[in-house]
Amino acid sequence: MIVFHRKRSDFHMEAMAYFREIVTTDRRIQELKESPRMVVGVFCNFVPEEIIYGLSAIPVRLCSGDFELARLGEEVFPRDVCSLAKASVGMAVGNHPLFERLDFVIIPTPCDAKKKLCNVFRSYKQVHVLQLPPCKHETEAQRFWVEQVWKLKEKLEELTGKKLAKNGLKEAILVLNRRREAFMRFLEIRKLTPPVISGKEALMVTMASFYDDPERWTEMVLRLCEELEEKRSNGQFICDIFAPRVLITGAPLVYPNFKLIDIIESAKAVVAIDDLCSGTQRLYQPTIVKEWSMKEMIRAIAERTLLPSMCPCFVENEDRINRVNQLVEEFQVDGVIHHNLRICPLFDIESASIHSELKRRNVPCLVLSTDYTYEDTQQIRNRVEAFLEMILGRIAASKGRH
Amino acid sequence: MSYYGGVDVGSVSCKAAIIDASKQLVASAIVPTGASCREAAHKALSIALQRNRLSIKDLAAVVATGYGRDSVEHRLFSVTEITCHAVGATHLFPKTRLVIDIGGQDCKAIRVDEHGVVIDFAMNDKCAAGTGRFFEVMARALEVDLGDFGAMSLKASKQIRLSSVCTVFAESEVISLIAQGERVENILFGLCLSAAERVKRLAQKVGIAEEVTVTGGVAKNVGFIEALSQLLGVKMNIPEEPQIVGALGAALIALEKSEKKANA
Repeated sequence: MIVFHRKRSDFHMEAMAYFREIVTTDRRIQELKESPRMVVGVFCNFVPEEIIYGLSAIPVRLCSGDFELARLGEEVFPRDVCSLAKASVGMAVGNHPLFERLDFVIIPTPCDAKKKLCNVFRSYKQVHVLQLPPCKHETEAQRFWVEQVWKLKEKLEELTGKKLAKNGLKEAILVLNRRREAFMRFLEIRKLTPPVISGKEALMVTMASFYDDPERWTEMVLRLCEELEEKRSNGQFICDIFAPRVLITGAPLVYPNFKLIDIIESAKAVVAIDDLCSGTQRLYQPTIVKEWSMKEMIRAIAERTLLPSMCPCFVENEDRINRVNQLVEEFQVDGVIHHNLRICPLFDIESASIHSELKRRNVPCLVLSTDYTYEDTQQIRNRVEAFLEMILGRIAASKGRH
Repeated sequence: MSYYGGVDVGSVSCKAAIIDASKQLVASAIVPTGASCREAAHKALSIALQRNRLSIKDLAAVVATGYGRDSVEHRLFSVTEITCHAVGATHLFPKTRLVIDIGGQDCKAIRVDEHGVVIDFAMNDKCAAGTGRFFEVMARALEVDLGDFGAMSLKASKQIRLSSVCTVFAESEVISLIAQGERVENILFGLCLSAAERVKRLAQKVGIAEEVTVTGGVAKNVGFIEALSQLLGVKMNIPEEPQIVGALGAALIALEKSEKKANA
């Protein structure tokens, strides 16, 4: 079902180099240009990719981390909109080759900027608005969401001129569940200390899945796991056992906006794990289907795309702090950095409760607000370095007392 | 006798402190940072050394801190000013649980535990409100010498509430108060209260503690200290020379690391 763009060279190259190529070069854009299949632009993790693959189309995630595109986006969006939304507008305004290749776009409605993005994009592409409920745990919200997913299926059938076949959808679910299994194996390796992969490289692996063919991605992740296990047995660690292990939570970090992660990792710490929607959250949950009927598959896909989300757009969001607590335990985390994307009030508001809950559990937490610009690099570096000194000071003090 | 140096290269001024092996402060110096962090650091350290008839060779180790820390020559290593202020303040006042440092361009609240270990901190974000810069701009607008700001503000006859904490808006608010014929002393204390309000909010992020030490140049402003103690309602320690606490902390870290090395 899925057209496989296998290049011979993929299997002679180090797996990490492959992911780097997918994220940082136009290789994938070239492949998509040559592909006869429909290409669908999506935002967030709310859009059910299974349905798109099930109709032989290809989803690509448009959330952008590009500073230059954010600046371009200011031609249309006001300055006081978050960098991510502005950069996404910039893709349209700046005739970005990936955007140009799109046949249509699906935009969910988690925040005001995304809602208004729908209107902007309509001047360039056909847009489908995927409406989100504000309280994901309410029964009527879930019913509403399942309806939205059905509506999306119908819309996609209309646009592709195809009927979604039961077997096609089933195969897509299985392919994406296998992708998730490979990702979970990768996470197991990241739990071990000292680490064999940096947080930046790990985020690139996840980000490659924004665009890549899922079967090829899965195969390459499994290869990466083998390579990392070999590195581990050869003792090729990226830092020593004393390097502080940091968890990043909060607003998404998307290539090339690796400013924060670069600052952390150049200060001799390692980003052991994240819970970002551009990272771990994206591939964490499988779709659990009880029987292979269309109705049940759609229900299961709707469940996977709504309930596990830890987006602060929902009124209640205890899921995020619970996940952070769980990951702190599992990944031997020494401190949490909460990333706020300037002008996004949702993460900003939630950061206070995350900070105080972690403080109660005696887990150091640093809240940072930044955007795609570089003007605050020194200030961010200063706070991060002070935070790492604090972590090391606390570890030394607790060892001294025991 | 071995000596240890600390250099704190701030945005406005550069501070140097020298201690002996018994942690006694033997000399210090403060110079404007100017355009070159490297030269300012060199100058501050040289002046401090000269004051005690010492030379750079007498220093067993130098630790640098402050925003220009990585351009200091002869440094053993760099440490952020958060750690240094905590070390310096708890050395001077061992019961300190909260350090409030107000420098030329930023302010920070640092929470320490009973062992002097930093457990949390918060810094103001890209804004001059409640920093040395804020007082500088207001003193100029009111044609008051910065050194007289605090003492004059304590002569206020009533408490004025300024609605703006932003330096730019507060300045225009001050100008309209002058136009309305408000007494300068009252405006000065109103400004102290507004800056203290801002600092209190920062301190609340890390938790206000029973004993607070205030460091940095603004700690010399008695009006601000009065306003802050009214708002926090806790015991406040003001070091004799609040500006050099970061440099002192750096010197103490230099001593501690050298001792550790010698014992290893």
